Amino acid sequence: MKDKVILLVEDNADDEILTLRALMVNKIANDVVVARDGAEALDYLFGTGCYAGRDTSVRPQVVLLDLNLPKLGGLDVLRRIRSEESTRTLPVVILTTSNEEEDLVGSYSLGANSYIRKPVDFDQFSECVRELGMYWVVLNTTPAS
Amino acid sequence: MRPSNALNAFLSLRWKFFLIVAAVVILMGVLSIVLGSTMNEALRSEHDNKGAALSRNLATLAAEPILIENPVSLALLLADAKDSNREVVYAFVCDRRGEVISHTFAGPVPPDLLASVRAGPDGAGKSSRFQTEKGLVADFAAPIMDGSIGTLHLGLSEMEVENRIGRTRKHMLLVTAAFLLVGLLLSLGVGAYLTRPLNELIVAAEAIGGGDLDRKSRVTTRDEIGLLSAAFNKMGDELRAYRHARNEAEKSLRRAHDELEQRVKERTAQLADANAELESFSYSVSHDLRAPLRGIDGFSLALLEDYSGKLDETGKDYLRRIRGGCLRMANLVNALLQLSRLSRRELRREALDLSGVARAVAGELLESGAERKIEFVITPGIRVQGDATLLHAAMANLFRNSWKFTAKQDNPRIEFGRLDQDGKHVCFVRDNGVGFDMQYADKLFGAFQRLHSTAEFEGTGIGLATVKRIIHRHGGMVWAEGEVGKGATFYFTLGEGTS
Repeated sequence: MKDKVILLVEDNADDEILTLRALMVNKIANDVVVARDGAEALDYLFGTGCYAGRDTSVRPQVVLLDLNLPKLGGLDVLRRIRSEESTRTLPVVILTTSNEEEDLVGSYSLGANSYIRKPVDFDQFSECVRELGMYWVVLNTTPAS
Repeated sequence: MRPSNALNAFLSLRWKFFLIVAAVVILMGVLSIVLGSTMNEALRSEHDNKGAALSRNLATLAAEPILIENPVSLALLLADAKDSNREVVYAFVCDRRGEVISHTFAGPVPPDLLASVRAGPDGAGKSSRFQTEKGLVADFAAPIMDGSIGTLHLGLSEMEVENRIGRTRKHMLLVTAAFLLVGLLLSLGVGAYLTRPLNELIVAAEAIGGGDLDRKSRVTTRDEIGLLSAAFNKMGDELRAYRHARNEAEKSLRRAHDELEQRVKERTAQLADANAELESFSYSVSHDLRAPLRGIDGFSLALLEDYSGKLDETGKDYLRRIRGGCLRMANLVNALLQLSRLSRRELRREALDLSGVARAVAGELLESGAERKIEFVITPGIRVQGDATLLHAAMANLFRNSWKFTAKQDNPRIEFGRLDQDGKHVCFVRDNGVGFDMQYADKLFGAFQRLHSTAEFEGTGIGLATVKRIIHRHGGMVWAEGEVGKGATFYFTLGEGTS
């Protein structure tokens, strides 16, 4: 399980801590790489910028992607991921505050694997993260890169 | 002279005038003919008197030569009488026995003349007429010495008088004919002259009637037609002034209309901008409010879970209260988001079974609060034209409202039905909950307006505002009736499409 990395793209430090805590509380002990904006997420995935030289053969098990991001928006990040051969099949779960129809439809149109709306109630949020981890990290199988 | 109505109706003024003049002229012609014949009679009578006088005079003069038996003197007398007057054709004297004793004829006295004279009456006066080569001759007989010694006969030619009569008649006829001709021509001319300005007036009136208000009557005479024409032109001026005023009014109206339209356009654009701004505002507020809320709630829970050993009960209670506040705020934000989304959503009308929607909403409520016992009375088969999603939201809010305010009732009951009011279908949702004071009825549907404290009844204060907005977007009306402690009824219509 150790090699199964989760890429969390989240600009809000509070949400980052709470997500990490929820993962920890729910005993999902994978490495979590946190990118604070869209550009950083792409740098990690393609081994560029501050992640230059990274072994890009190690693919995250799942990308938890927020939509409201500085620099490069979540939907743009998703578009890039789906347009690159190496990341075309990468599981991407949209984890966002937005419940707008446009965002929902846009995400699925661009090939998101799942769309989760962050509940305000932390109990529900925690449960949500637990189920996400269970499904994408433990149950789900992805094609090898 | 009063022409009949038919004449009045069919004849032009010109022809009427012509007929009147013609009648007068003909009357005058007849009069002149009558006058002519009277004159002829007078001429003849004068001629007869002349003949009688001449013959009597000659008879008196002839008495002496007869008595003295002087035939030469008698013959001279007769010849003198014949010569002195060219009208005298002949003269002869008969004795008592009727034998001619003297005469003026070149030969013997024509026997037929004699026969005719003898056959005629005795005594004075004109006895008979003869046609001779010198024309008609009237024979005048005058007794000499009362007929004791004979009778004188004088032949007076009537050719002269007949010629005069003929001439008079001819002149009269000519004059009459000329009079008729001139009269008729004159009447035609005068008729045309008199009616010309009228025709001009008619042409001008027709032109104005056809819309050419600049057309003027050119009649400038000083008679009644001239006055009429002036009045007519004045009327034309008034019409023109009126049309001008009307055109001006129309122009300014059009200007005002254009300005108004422009203003409406501007205002609509401003409103659209304001709406868009408001939407983006409520969208971002809803979004951006949620993230910190989640943080507050999350860290409160983290504190409760990770540091429970270091907190006393009061501290934990505070944290729970913080979490409760977060939840309420999250609900508010959600409700706001829903309200803003309902306003933006396009309205799609379709045939809808509102009873079915009510049943679905009731089912959802029963699922969410399984511990509550509540009776739903839903009239089946209420079909309307409306937006399924929006009306589902409206019904859900109405039912949730009733659900909430019947919570403290022993036998809670929510009813959905329809009634006819002034020929309109009115749907209603009725409950037997806590009701409300009618004096606050208008506050029920305002956003964030609440008639109960949060402690008493949970709520965002947006539910009924959402209902109102949905009903208004359908072109309908929504209102409420209630009484404290006796429940509330919410009525709504759905505008045109309700069936």
